[in-house]
Amino acid sequence: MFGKLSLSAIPFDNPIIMGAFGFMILCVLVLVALVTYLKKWKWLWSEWLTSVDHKRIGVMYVVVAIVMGLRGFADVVMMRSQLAISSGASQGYLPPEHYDQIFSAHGVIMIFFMAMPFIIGLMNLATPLQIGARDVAFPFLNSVSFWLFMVGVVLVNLSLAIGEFAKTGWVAYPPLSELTYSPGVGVDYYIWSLEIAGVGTLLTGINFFVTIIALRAPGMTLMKMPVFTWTVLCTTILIIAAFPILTVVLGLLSLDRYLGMHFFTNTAGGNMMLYVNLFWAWGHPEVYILVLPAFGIFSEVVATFSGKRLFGYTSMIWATIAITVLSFIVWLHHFFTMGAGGDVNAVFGITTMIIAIPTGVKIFNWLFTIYRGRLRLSTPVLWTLGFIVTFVFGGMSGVMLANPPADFVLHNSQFLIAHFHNTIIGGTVFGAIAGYTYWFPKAFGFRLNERLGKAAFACWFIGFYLTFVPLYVLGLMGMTRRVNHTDNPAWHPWLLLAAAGVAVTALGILLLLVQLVVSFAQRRKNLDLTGDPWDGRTLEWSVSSPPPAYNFATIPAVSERDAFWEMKRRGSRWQDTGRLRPIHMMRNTGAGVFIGVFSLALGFALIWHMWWLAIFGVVGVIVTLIVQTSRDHTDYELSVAEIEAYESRRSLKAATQR
Amino acid sequence: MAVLDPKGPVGAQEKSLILTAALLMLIVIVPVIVMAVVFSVRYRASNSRATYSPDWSRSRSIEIVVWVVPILIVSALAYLAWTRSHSLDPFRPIPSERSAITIDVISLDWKWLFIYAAQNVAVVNEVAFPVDTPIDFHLTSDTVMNSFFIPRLGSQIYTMAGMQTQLHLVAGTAGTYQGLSANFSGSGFSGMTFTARAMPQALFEQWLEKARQSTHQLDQQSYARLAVASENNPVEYFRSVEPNLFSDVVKKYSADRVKSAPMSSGS
Repeated sequence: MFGKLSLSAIPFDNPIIMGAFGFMILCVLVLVALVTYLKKWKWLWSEWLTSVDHKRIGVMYVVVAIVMGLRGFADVVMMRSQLAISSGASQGYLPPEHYDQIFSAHGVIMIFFMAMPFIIGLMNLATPLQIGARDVAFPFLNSVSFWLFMVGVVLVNLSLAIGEFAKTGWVAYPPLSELTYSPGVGVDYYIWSLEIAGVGTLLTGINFFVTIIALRAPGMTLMKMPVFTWTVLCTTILIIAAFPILTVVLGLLSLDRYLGMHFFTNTAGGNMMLYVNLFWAWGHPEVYILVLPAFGIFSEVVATFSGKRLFGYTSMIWATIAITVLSFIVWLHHFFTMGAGGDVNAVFGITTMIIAIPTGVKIFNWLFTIYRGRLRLSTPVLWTLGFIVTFVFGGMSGVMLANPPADFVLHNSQFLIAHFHNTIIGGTVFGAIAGYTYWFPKAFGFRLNERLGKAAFACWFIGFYLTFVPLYVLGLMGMTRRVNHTDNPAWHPWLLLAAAGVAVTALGILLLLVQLVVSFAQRRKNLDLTGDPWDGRTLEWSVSSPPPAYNFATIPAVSERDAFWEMKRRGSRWQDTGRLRPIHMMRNTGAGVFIGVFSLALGFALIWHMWWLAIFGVVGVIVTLIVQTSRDHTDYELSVAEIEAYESRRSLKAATQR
Repeated sequence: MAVLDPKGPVGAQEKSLILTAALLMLIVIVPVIVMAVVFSVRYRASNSRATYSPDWSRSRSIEIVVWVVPILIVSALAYLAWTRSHSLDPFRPIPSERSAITIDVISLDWKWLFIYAAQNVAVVNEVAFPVDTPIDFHLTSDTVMNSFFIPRLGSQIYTMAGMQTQLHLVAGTAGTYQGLSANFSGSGFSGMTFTARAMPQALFEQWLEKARQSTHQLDQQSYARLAVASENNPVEYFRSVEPNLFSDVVKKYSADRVKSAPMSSGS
């Protein structure tokens, strides 16, 4: 009945795990109690969970990203404190069985369940607004994507207490991840959470690709699109091309583990090198999936707050396209040490270095956007400047690692850890927080507290260097990654310093949370009634904050880049041109949630070999899809009177502020 | 710093590559940081004396510079990458007046086995070799993938079951250096370290003699016992080694491959 699942799967004897899980359950209970007390269940269900509105879905992605970011950061605190303690005779407090799960979970959570949803959330929030669209091309599919992603989130969190998570590192290289060496359910949790969430990501990629190609406002040619939209377009191309590789490679691994096949095993003709190649054929495009939209955010922020056109728009776009293409021909640099010959290593080393060229161009374009501008040093700008000075060091260490013989001594070392955190934190995370601060008023109608935002940035910035400069040094000292104990007394001070850096970063994270609470409490002071709090340049700032469900009462006509900036110049600030017509809208539907629930049952059943439940899950998904597609009333029309009522209320509010 | 204080020519060349790349990159990084600070101070909104040209967004000369300078730097680095990838290929023998010593390496859960086939001795978690003599490591794994790495001497290389990789190193200075696995291999990974001893030829002979004093022999049975997973193994010497043990371990996995030609990942 319950397959491999029994009460012994729950590690009652481990106080750290039980404590963490208890805390998680407590949080959920408090949330449930709060919603019940405030009588908000109906509101939560009908306005949010079942929403097909890209803005709401975007907000939900970001909320989950923040929550999962906190979980991933709890892993950081445990890892860095373990390494700070466990030097020489001391073994620390985390035995390998636990520590190995922590670093594996940290990688998986931060990449798939923090960075990805943060970026996808901002994509959801801003892209349709930037191109003058009323929603994405497939709103229901968007909801399904979100709930499939949530399945991955729930599975990873369940693995904390029910069974275990993978002890293989986030890459899960076979043969270590094969049944022979990892007989537990940890790798199965890994496989199914990524398989199901990965399908959601793929659907998002397709959805946004079609949205950008098909739903742009009249007149917005490709070369008039906002840069963020361009980066999203390139990211969706990467998602569409790369995510199926991940799905296949994890599928093959599951065939090895479930049906005794031998794609990657040591024996019977299996070959682990195939997995490593396929994994990184997805994995390297993945890092650009994460960082390109961040580049887009910096482009928007820098142009907006400099009150100036982006320097070298065309260069910027071609640089983005070049990175998109190049990202597919560099994957081998993740394993120069596998023993391919000089020719192969050199070719991949050189393609990797070439990526530095368009990236360098982008950096200079941002700088020359500031040049002769009027730069307002707001929080998003600080994150952008912090990114520019930090990211160049990530680029520098990246180019060092790209040289195969240099990689022979730096591969898998703490230097590598420092390098990719330098690019992912300095690039994607800084970009995500910049975007979060930048578009927050658009989503909620009030600005975030500037002072707390700046303090948070200061802590993050200092905390970053304090944590990762020691890791660069440790890498040069020969310390490899994924160890839970060190024996070299010379390393210890650096490990302590890195732990101190984590404490400073923790303060930065705390300040961001405080900023959220304080800003909410003081929201009346920071209301954004005009919809254009930053003197913006692109179309999302031409609508109210938060925008109406239909986004645009009339679809704007675009004739230039920076469409809204040009409208303001010409004095046609509100899009009052053109006559209102009824708007075709999609109804919210619970089908996405149900597909998520059935997929969760499927994933959980596959992990624990509960075949009846797996069949139930598959049938449930299919039935839900059939019911949803055969329903008649999935849409409705918003009448002109309703639109007029909303728009006039909004003009009144805007007028009172001016 | 182990990587920046190499004790052999391979590591020394790799160190110089790292430093060259870093210096070349500084040609871009220093101006970027200076410009980031200077521009954001000079063009801050409160400074109304600075020029403000909201529509200025292109300049052919600037764009040429920002494309060409990185291209030149990357071209220089690419030249280095191409030549050094070949000259420092781990499979490539190191030219020397002295003939190379061959050491077979097997990664096990979670220890390293070193086999001196010609000298007929074997050691766990310790490897010794004469200074200034090229070492020809032949490596495989009898478990999951590992990476064989002595940071002070230079390059690392993966060990994989059913396959044989090669690594050529040479120690220029006598000394005791830490060796480790640089690819995560499971719960005993942190303790999967070994000691590498570079010593003058005479001392190396003595070291071999010491190994030969051991009461243990490495045959199929004792190898099977050794291969059982264990953590933080002490150094252990074997006075003799069953012939072909290393190739048997490689073949063990490749025997049941289709067309059972032993596979070398370097070919």
